[in-house]
Amino acid sequence: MNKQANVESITDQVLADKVNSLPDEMTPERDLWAGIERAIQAKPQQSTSEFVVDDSKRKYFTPTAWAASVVAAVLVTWLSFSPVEEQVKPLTAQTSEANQPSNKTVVNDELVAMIQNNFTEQRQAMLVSFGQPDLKQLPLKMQTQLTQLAQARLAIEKALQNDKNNVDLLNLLRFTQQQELNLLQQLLPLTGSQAPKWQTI
Amino acid sequence: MNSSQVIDAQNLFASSQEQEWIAQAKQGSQAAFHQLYQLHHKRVYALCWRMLADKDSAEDVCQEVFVVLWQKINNFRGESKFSTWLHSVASNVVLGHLRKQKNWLQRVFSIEDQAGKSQEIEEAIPLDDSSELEELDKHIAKLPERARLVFVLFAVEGYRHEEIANMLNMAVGSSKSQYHRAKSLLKEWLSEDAALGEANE
Repeated sequence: MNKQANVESITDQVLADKVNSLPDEMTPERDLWAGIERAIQAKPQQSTSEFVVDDSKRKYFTPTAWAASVVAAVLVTWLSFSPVEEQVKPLTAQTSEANQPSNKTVVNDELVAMIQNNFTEQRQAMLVSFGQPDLKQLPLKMQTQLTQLAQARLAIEKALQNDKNNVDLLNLLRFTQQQELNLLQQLLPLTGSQAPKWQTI
Repeated sequence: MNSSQVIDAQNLFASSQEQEWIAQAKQGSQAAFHQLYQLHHKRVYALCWRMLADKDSAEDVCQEVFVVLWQKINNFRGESKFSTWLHSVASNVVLGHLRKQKNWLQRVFSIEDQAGKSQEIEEAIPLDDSSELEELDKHIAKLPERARLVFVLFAVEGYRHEEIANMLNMAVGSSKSQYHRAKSLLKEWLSEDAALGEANE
């Protein structure tokens, strides 16, 4: 009997009858309740409104990811132009004016330090409020996003050391810091005791 | 009181009992939630097994379904039957699990490969697991992933192709063609079984 003849011997009706006679229930081999019970003790029920918030957070995550990409792209562009300035600096350093820091530079030193301290404090407060979670518990994709933003911030800080009067760089630093804080705020609820551990039960 | 009235009364009692458990579970009662689990877990497991075609994954995902149910139970407003709503939650959890498990590239390869590997898959299903299964269930497990998902959702769970297309992020036409592919394969395999049975007699 060839394949076509085989198929014709079972009609749609026969197949439909077999589907209708399939058992509605199957019994799992292991006891699933113990794991579920443990998991729901760690997972509080959520109200409908909380789900709405979750959805909005999810919608917000994509723009943040885009922002991180934009920062990375701007930074790459910036750094690709920076060697030109570095070549100019040794020439200006020969003058006595360049050897002595001006008042403006001192003010900017303090401003950069203040921005950095402010960011560090905010970040630390955020981590403490979530019980100092291990960020390595986050999914790899999210860790990568965080790392990219952190690397972008460090690169901007490094660039600022060479060009302290650059307002654009200062703004870029504050923007990057804010993106990093925003991302952390979204991701921290996914770490620590609230992380989904029950799948491994 | 005749037998049909007795059955009606029993159904009414069971339904009101379920409503009570749902209300208590919404208030955070794990005992009531356990009763709901006892009532529904075998149906949910059957759905997971048919969609995933793997015992271990089905057990894990079945657990995941009930943890999600615990979190989302406040979203159930009684506009449909609880079992219908629960099955839609379960279907979405299974599909979410599949999305997490495989990236699109792996899935493309598995779709193309699975049809040619039905024999291997049949051998891969442990005998002690498949021996108690219906003949049709064994064949459903051998279907390529997309065809299997469409077939189970359409023929067993009663979803419309428009709904399935939305759930699986595919065109309605693709859902219909996957369904026809699944039907053809199942009819072919069932016919082969019938021919073998006749030959043995």
